[in-house]
This record gives sequence, structure tokens and C-alpha cells, in this order.
Amino acid sequence: MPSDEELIDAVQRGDHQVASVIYERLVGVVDHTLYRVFGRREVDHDDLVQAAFEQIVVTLSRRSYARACSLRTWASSIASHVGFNALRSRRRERRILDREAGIEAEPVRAGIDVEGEASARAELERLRFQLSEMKSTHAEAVFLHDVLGHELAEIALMTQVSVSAAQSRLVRGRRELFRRLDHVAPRRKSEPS
Amino acid sequence: MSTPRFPSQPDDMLRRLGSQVVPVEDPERVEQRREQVVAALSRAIRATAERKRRTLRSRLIWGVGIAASLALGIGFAARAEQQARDAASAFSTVAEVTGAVVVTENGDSRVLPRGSDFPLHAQSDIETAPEAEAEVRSEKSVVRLAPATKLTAPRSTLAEERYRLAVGKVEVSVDKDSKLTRRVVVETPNAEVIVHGTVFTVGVATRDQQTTTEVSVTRGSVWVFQRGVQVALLGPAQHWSSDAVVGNTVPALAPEPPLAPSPALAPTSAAPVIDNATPRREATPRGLPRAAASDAKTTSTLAEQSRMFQDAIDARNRGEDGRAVELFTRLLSRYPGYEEAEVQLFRAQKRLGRTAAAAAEARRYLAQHPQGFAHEEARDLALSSLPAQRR
Repeated sequence: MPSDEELIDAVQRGDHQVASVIYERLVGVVDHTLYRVFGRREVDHDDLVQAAFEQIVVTLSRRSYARACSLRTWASSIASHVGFNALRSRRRERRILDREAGIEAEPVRAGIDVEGEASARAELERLRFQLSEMKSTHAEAVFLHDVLGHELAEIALMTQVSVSAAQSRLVRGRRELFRRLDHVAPRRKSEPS
Repeated sequence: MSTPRFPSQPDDMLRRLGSQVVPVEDPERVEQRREQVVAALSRAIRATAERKRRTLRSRLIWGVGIAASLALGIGFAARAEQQARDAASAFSTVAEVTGAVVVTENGDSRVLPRGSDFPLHAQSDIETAPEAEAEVRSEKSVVRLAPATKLTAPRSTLAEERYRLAVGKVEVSVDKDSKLTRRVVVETPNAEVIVHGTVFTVGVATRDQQTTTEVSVTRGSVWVFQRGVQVALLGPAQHWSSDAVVGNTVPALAPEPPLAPSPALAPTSAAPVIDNATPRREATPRGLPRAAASDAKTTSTLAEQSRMFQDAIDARNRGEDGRAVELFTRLLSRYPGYEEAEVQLFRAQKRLGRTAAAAAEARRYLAQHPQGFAHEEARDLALSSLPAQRR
């Protein structure tokens, strides 16, 4: 199996033979990231996956990827960016409800508190909605850190900003999200006093 | 009662979002997406590489273009600087070229294109073809070469600017207001014409296997030397020919020419005396009986003749050819046979477009001066007008 470096070099050379290898290596992380952004696989999920991969190829080719983090981490950053852009675009078009109406809800597992499950889903949906309403850099910082579990240093590399800038985005993002959810943001270790 | 589960804390909600289980997809759908995305990915890799190549090529073209422009600019600047340096180092320039003019400098000959300017850096031979003309311009003088003329222009010194006329005719105009004090000398095979501020012509022709030098003064004065001895001092409208001084004995007490001669000295000078009554108005060699016979009446006639000629020349120089024709005609009616005036008359008529009258004057001139200094020009004019006259 070719290493990340070899794959990146092949893309920069224009070697399209590596397309399937790149897909196999990154499809899991791209698919999961998009699933978490939307909370489900939308009807155009395949298109979003494709858009994320195309964006990955473009950034690799333009050498925007500094090779400071793994290719998977980079792919998750790109996929979350693509996902949030799509989500925002849908909110703006106010078609989200129509779309949702057409989607078959996830099946409810047997033996589970149906009311509790529905409330939890509604809460997560509200969370996604508020994230999509926030400033994109702040929302992505919160998502990458608190949802996908990336370290601040990684986020800084992925978003090509300094660690302090990434931290600032994260703090502001959390504060805004908490305000939107009518909660007071708790102080954390990573937050400056 | 336990704590209410909802609404949850945002931290909680974020954690739950992160730990949400992603359901496994239908393998058929996964395969379908794989085919779609891999094909698109392959296309994207190719397209991106192609775009990159195009951008690189475009940058390369721009780079080469900018480099070429820079090189061209530097080349032009260097050439302009070289030309400026050439012009600065040149002591004179060949200009106003019409027809075939050949300049030989340091053994290299080149034909100058029409209307070109050619700086002279070393001794040069300038030769005009039978139909060609040119000018040699220096800071001090302008030497106009008539057709079929061969002139050598050595490098000027602080003391003098010397031209050697082998054959043909030159019209020399010296800037009398120039700050340069060097004298202008035209050397012919048998004479040397020295001048400070004047307009005059020097012609060299071969007649009966003998070289003859002709000097005509339009304005100012010139000294004519032979074998290092002054043989004539010419004023405006006066003419000198080496024909008249063949075998002349030069007096031992010939004075050296002054540095700044005055035209007024010409008629009254003790040395060369000009016979104004003769048709050719030849300067009489010094020491001959004719010189001693010059009296006040001659001087007076000469002054009148010079004044009339000068008036006519001034009219010509102002571009008033009609007035010039009138004045030259009046001069010739009073002093017939005045060769320079006759030449100027048919030239002025030619410029006015009076071809028939110019041709008639040219024929009259040829009858009186079959070997005159402008006989070729007169003959051409007379011949060129024949078809028109027949019509």
C-alpha cells in the first residue's frame, strides 16, 4: 500500500491511477464526517462525498496541504468544511424542512425509549442548526475539536492558522453556540481567562 | 426524582454528536458510490494536473515575454547610449544625403541610404555619384557636396578644419558666430582656400588634362593660397580660377593671412586685386601689372557689384526667388558676364518653375562660359527643358 506521501506525490504529478487508492483510504473518514454534520445520509450524500474528494485533490495539487498532519485528518477537515457549507446553503434556501420531510427517518431500535430517542434527535438537530447559523470558522473549530476530537494543534494545521488563532476561534465558537442554546458556557482549561 | 434528561448541556450534546453511531450502508449503494466518486476523482486529478501545466506554460510564456521585453529595452537603451556616444565622439556628420553617396572610413566603404546621418570619427573620403548630393556638418561649418564630388575630411584640430577636394564642387558655409576660432580650409590639388566666416564655393575640374580650381564667394571673404603663398583675397561675388595664375610668380613679401579677416579689406588689399570688369571676374595674381592698375573707380564698381549681388543672395536666402530673379537680372544688365549671378539666376528661375526661362538662361550661360563651374548643371537644365519646349 502506498504511503500518504506517495499518494500526494502521485496526485501532484497528475497520476489518475491512484484515484481508487485515495478513495479507499479516505472514504470512511469523509463519509463519517458528513454523516455527523448532517445527522444522516442525505439524498445527495454521494454528491457531497464526491465534492469533498474533489476538494481534497485540488488542495493536494495546489500544495495547500502542508503534510504536517495525516491525510485522514486533512480529509476530515475538508469534509466538514464541505458539509457545513452545504448545510448553510440549505438553511439559507430555507429548503431544509422540505428536504427533511422527504427523508425517511432513521429506524428506531427496538427496546429503546422512543420519547427519549426523539428528544435526543431533536436536540442534536437543534445543535446542528445553530452550528450552521454560526460564523463558519467558529463552527468548524467547535465541530473539529468537540465533535471529531481533533487537537487544537491539528486544527491549527488543518485550517492553516496559528494555534492561538485556532484556540480563539474555538472559545468564541463555544461561547456563541452556548448563547444560542441559552446556556452559559462553562470555563475550560483551554479557554483563556 | 432523577434530574431531567432534557434539555442537555451543550457539552453533552457535542459529545453525543461525536459519538453518534454511523449506520452501515447497503453494499450495493457503497459500490455504486465508489464507481461514481473514483471516476470523478480520476477526472479531477487529470484536470487539475492539466490546469497546472497550462498555468505553468502561461507563466513561462509571460516570463519569457517579460525577459524578452527587458532584453529589448536594455538593447535599445544601450544602442541609444552608443549612438549618443558615437555622436559625441564624431567630429562631423554626413547628412542630407540624396542619391548614391559613398563614405570610406578606415578602409571600410559604405553606401549611405537616402536621408541618413552618418557620424565621421576618423579621416573619411566622401564621394557623391553624378546625381547625388550630401552635406558634411561640423560645429563650425557646413560643406555641401555637389554631384560627382570627392572630398576628404580629416579629423579636425583645434587650429583648423581641413577638407581636401579632389574633384567636383563644394559650397562651404562657415558659421562666423561660432565660438570656435579654428579656421576652415579647403585644399584642392593646386590651391588652398582659407576662411573664417563666409559662404563660398570651391570647384575642381580637369580641363585639357589640367586640374583647375575655381573659387566663388557669396558672403564674407576668403584667402586663396598656392604653394603656401597667398595669391588672392576674394570678397563677396568675386571669383578666382587657378587657370588665370598658371605660371604665376609669387612675390616674396606675401603677408600671412590674419586670423579674423574683414570682408571690407578685400577690394583695397594691397596683395590680390580682383578685376571686376572682366566677365569671369578673376582675381588677378599679386605682383602682376593688372594689380597695380587697380584704382578707386574699380573699387567703387566692385563695391556696387558686391552690394547688388549680396542683395540678390539675401533675397534668395529669404526664399524670395521672384525678388532674387529680379535683382540678379538687374545686376546682369549692369554687369553682364557675371558668372555666379548668371548661375544663381537660372537656379532661381528653376525653383520658381519657370523651366523655359531657366533653360534659356542656362543656354546663355553655356554660350558665355562653356567650361564654367556650373556648365554641367546648365547643360542638364537646358537639355531637360527641350521636350517641354517642343510641345
